[in-house]
Amino acid sequence: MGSMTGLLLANAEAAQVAGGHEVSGGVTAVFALLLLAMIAALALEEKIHAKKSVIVGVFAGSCLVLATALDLLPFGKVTLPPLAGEAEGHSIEMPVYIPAIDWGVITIILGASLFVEVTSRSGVFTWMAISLTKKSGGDPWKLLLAYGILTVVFSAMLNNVTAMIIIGSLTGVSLTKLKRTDLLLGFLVVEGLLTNVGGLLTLISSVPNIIVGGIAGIGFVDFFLVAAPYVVIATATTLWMGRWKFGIHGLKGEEERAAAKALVAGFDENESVPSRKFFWFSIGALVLFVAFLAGQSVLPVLKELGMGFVALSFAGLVLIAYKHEVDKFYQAIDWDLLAFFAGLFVVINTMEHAQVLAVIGSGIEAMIGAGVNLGTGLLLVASAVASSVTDNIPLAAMLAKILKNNPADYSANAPYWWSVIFGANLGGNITPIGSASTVVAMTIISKHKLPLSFVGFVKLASLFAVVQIIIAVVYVVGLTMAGVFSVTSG
Amino acid sequence: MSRLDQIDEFESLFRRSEREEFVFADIPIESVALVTGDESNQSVQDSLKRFLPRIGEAAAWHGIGSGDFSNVAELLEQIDAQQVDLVVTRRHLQEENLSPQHSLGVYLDELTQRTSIPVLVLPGTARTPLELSTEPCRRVMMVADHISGDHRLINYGMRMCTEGGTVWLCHIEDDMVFRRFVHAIEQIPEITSEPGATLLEEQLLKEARDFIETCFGTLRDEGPNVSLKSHVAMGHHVTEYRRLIDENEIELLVANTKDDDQLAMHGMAYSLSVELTDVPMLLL
Repeated sequence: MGSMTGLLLANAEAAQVAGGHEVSGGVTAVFALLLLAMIAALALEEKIHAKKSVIVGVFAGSCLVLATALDLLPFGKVTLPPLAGEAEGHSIEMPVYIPAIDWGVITIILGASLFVEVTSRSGVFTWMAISLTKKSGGDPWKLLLAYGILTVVFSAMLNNVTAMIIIGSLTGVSLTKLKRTDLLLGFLVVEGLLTNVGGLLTLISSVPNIIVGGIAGIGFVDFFLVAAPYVVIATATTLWMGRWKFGIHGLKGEEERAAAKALVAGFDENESVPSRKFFWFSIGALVLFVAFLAGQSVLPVLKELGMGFVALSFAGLVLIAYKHEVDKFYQAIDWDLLAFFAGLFVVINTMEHAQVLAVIGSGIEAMIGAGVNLGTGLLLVASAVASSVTDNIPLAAMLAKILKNNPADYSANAPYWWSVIFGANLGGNITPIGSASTVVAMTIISKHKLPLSFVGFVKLASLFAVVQIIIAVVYVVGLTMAGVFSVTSG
Repeated sequence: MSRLDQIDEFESLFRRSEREEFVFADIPIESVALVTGDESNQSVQDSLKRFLPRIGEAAAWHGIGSGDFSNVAELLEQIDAQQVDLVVTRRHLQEENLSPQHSLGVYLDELTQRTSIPVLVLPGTARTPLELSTEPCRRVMMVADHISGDHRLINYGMRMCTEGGTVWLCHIEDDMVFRRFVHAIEQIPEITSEPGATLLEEQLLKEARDFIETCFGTLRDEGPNVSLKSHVAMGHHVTEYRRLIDENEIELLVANTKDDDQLAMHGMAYSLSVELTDVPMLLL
């Protein structure tokens, strides 16, 4: 972090000419320090006992006041694009911090989390988890395969944190039933590491994907087609490494297999399904949700209304099933996360006006200037390292904005977007505070009183994380060399 | 809801989906020891063969007369030597002159706790023995305050019932204990009293119902030809079982007496065996 401060201060003068308006180097440096302070506060979130939204809210308010006092923000009416046949668009009065927020991202997260909250009440996810547990026959290796794949699928369909909570809880219960708690630590570490791999699968699987994909203009299907092969390779590698590192092997004797099978056969997958009708309705809604997200960019009307509208519409649709108690689901929304995003976008917007992003961009420019392949690899590794010690969401938002503002005007298939996406997601696997899902994994590990410290986690997980990051670098650079990605103007 | 609460919620959900599958086993009873206070034990043997025809098929009957032992250690030694599968005895054995009313007697008490051999307690006491029914036992009730996973209780109960008879699988949750928990819940602001108490009651009874359901499924496929009935409720053990015994004209009660955490007999089994003296009981 100290070297980053030096870089910012050294480049402060450059800021004067980097942006569209005059900003002194000193002002840029002050805002840069505010940004660093916010990143540090987010990294120490647990220590200072403050929620993300409060931390970012304080910095957003401070940045707004300071930027207004220094005359950095463009106050005035906001003009909407004109309708066909009109010369000018409609102008409306709007507080300066409202258009700073990326409402597309907020609506996707709000709609998708409400949709997932309601459909998960149908028991479909727990049903899948218990069914696969029974299919494994209680064999530890088959169980690790089943839980690993489920973690990836749930991380992709729900979100990393919910996936870790569901699979981590079931792992504790099933290994206790099988009297194999000696394997619990290995299972939980592997699952924690796989949440961030699964978070790469689709455009809406993780927030960095939504932010970077949205700014870059990557479509749902294009995202999936690029990410899926990597997810398959990284999942298989992680599971194999988990088997080797934690000694998770299959059962050998027929008697052992029969005893384990009898134990897991006692699970009833239908216990958590309150209504068969709603169960099937939820499965249908999930399939349609994915189909509509995939087709949104080409479907008339939806193409204009965007992915956020699709997510909100599906949330509304499934809420009809619980129309008398929708307030219960509204309470379950992660308002801290949404307020955090809103505040974060405001901070980034002021940083843009204070030329801080231009200064960081010049540092990234130097990285990219090393050549397409080397630059792609360097950016991916740098994103991963930065993401391992701080929240990957501000990192992704900031880097995406910097790449967007780059004069080269990168198209959606530039490799740098993918460097940020892969780096921001996978960096979370290096330390236990690198991502929310690894924090959950640590919470479950501590709940079961398993001995694993911060350093212990880094020692265990870093080997997995390094291998995943190396595979990602080879994959993204390989696709660039194969011509799938190219550095062309958008 | 905090992360820890969410983890806890899902763990509860998964634990609730765990089912204990009943495993049927046809218990072999090939050797029976009669310790009834009579020297010959012949009349007891004859009436037992009529009352429990399936036990009557046992190959070996060993009579242990009152002169064969003078303390618990000697009696246990004799039983060990015979390697029996069932001990038949009476309450207040060799304590006829003490006229106790609120105990089982030293021998019965020790027999149930110091051996793993089931003890069939004849009705009445050693001082005032009651006759066994002259008809085969066709109405057996297995009682527990925690029936889930008690395979042994059910398998022994099935073994005792005559072909074509009826067995009752019963679980009574002590409402006095439950009320104490509810009272505690009512004093904890973090737990909403009404749903807390209702959900707790539902879950306690659900566990028993789920296990009985698996018992029924297995017994219909693999068990002997008997009718299966169940009763799961909240209530006072002795009062509720007394009512069920009278209403259903139960001829044999089967209960578990062992408590892993203590040397003394399980509380519910003790109170039932002291108070319900007119019904033959198989104590496990």
